[in-house]
This record gives sequence, C-alpha cells and structure tokens, in this order.
Amino acid sequence: MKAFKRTGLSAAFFLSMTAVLCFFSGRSFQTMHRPEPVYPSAGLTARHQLSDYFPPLSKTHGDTEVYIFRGAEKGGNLLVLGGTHPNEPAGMITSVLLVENIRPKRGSVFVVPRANASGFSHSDPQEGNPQRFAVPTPAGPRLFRLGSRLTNPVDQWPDPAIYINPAGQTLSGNEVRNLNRCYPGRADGLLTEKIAFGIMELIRSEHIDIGVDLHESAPEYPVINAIVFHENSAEMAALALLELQAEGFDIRLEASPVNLRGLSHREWGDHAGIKAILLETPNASHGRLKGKPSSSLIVDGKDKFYTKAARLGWLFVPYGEEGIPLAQRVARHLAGVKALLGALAEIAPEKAVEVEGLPAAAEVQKKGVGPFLHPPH
Amino acid sequence: MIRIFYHLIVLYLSLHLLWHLFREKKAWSQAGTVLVLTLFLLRLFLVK
Repeated sequence: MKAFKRTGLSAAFFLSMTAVLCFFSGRSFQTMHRPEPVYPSAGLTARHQLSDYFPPLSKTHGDTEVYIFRGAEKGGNLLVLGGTHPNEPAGMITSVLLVENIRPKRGSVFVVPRANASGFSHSDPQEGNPQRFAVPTPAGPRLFRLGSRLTNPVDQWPDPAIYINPAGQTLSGNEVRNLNRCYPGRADGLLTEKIAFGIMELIRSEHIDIGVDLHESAPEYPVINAIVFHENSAEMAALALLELQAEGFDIRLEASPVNLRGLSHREWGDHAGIKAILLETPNASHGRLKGKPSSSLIVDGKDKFYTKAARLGWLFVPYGEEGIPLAQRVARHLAGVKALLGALAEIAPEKAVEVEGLPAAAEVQKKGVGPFLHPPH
Repeated sequence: MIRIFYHLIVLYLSLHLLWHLFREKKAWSQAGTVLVLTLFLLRLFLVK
C-alpha cells in the first residue's frame, strides 16, 4: 500500500510534468500557424484567397493568399508560385519580394507566396531545423517561417503505404502530402490534392498564360540551377536561358519528363495548356551533407561540409567558402522571372507582361534581400 | 474513416502509457514515459 502510494504520488507528479510539456511545446507549435505579414506594394489591385477559386478550401489550413496586380494596358497573365515546398526559402522570399515591389504596366501578375500554407505550419521531423530564419533589413531583422516540404500531418493524416496521384503516377506514401506531386489535384481528394486543384482553378478562371513555380534543391541533386520546362514552353525557356547566360548566370535547361506525372511543370501544361516553368536554385540548408542547421545557414548559405564536398567533386554546382547566400538564390529567381517575361514578349507580343519595380538581380546580389523588403514592425 | 481508426490507436496507446506511468516504480522509467506520452497527446489533440 505504501509502495503504491509512493508510486501514485510520483506518477501524479510526472503526469503534471506531461501537462507542462504539452502546454509549452503545444504553444510553440501553435505559433507556427501564424503567417508572417506581407506588405504589398502600391501596385496591388486585389488580394484574394485560394478558396475564392475553390470554396472547399475555405477555413482549412490549405487556404492561402493570392496577390493580384493588374496593369493599365492589356497583356498576358503571369502566375508566380512560392512556397510549394516551404523548406525552400528562396522561392517564398522571391514571391514576397515581388508582392512588396512590383507595379505592372501591362498584363497581370498573380503571386502566391505560400502555395502550401499547411506546410509552413510545421517543420521536417528529425532535421533540427530552426522554426524561423531572420533576413537582415536596414530597419532590423525580419523573420520568416521555415516549413516542411510536406503538408502538416495534423491536416492530412495518415499517409498511405503507396500513393497513386491524380495523374496516375505511383509514388511512395508520404508524397501524398507533397503539393508538387498532386497536380492536377482532386476536387474531392485529400487536402494537398485540394490545394493543387485550387491552383488549377485559379489558372483556369484567371486565364493564366505562363506559370512559374519557384523551388530550391540540394547541391548534390542533379536538377539544380535549372529551368525545367514543359514542351510547350521550350522556345521561351531557351530564349530565357540565353538571356540569363548573357547576364552571367550558370544555368541549364531540363525538359519536363512526360512520364513523371503530378508535377507543376507537367500538369499545368497538360491540363491547363499554359506555359509551365519551374526554376531551381541551390540551397545547402535542405541538403543531406550539411552541418548544423541554422538561420545563418539559410541566409548566408555557408557550410564547410558542402565546401569539402565540392572539392571532392560530389556536387552539381560550384560551392566555395563564400557559400551560396539567399540573396544570390533570390537574385537567380528574379533574373529567371524577368528573362521569361522578356522571352514571352518576344514570342507572343500580345501576351507580354511588363512590370515596373522588379528588383534588379545584380542589385539584390550586391545589397542583399533586406533593402528590398518592407521593414519589420 | 482511416483517420478515426488511427486516432483510436493513438488514444489506446496514450491510455496504455498512462496506465504504465501509474504502475511503474522506477522514477527514471516514469520520466521516460512522460516524454513518449507527451508526443502521443500532442498528436491525439492534433497539435503536432
């Protein structure tokens, strides 16, 4: 009896410890659901939600902001997607930079900075990633969420053992939460499939002409520093490549494989008939060879293990001691978007999109991303 | 449907851990149980 009493008392103590742990860790996890503010430029015409195009997304963690910039002159419609994979920060930061700076003159620009909003509400398990990273601006650091490649399992759970995506491709189970494997989406599917379907609805209802999906990849991954293009965009991608190489960017073309289904650069072109492009930049922070994950690894991009791997010839990009900072990766994306718009204007002048205020890639590389971001509050 | 089934599994395991917590005599084992139970409760209440 005495032993049971002692055990019961210590169990009650440890149970209260459980409650304390649940409270503090739960509160920390809940803060990840709060999206950081974005401050649109004066050129913003409207701000919609993805659920305006596909109402079943309303009041779910898959709903996300769509920033719309319409120019005074008639032209084409450009869609820029950041945050398809929330652990690839250059895509999201480039989108935020566009939202906070551009003023279209001709045509319209639609920007979705957090394409998979649910993916921003958690972190990749067992990676030790920071919850947030700090981008220095002249008025102080501005914090952004570093999320996960996949939708939060709290929103979509459990994963199947094998996933057959809406395009019929058989994939490993956890890809069911990867937005860039779920196109063209399913109206009555799982949350990630619904997000993909919502983006397809946005493309169809706004008559998008060109879609650009911004990504990053690990330096040891072969599809890197690349323009991945649907075959209907080959000429445009080739022209953009010439422009980027003339500007000094080391970049290559990758054709979207016809038998790799469910990805934006394949299904946007096949199912919506738009020019579909995906841009990749190198990011050490989600590679397998990195050292300690940190905010500075994301922003400064310096990692001694990747420098060594580059010396050993294991990487697909040059990686010196200076690293590959966020500013350089964002500059690449900005230059890519600009070059694609230039190519579109050449190929289809009636669909041209002209934008003012787009930060110049050279300036971003020189000054960093911060000076082009709204100061933090 | 499958989600409800998974929830029931997590609930069952959480109750099992709780029962173990009150039966275990060693404090270190109880402390270890707390760490596992925390994760199960966070998933049970869909926090993480």
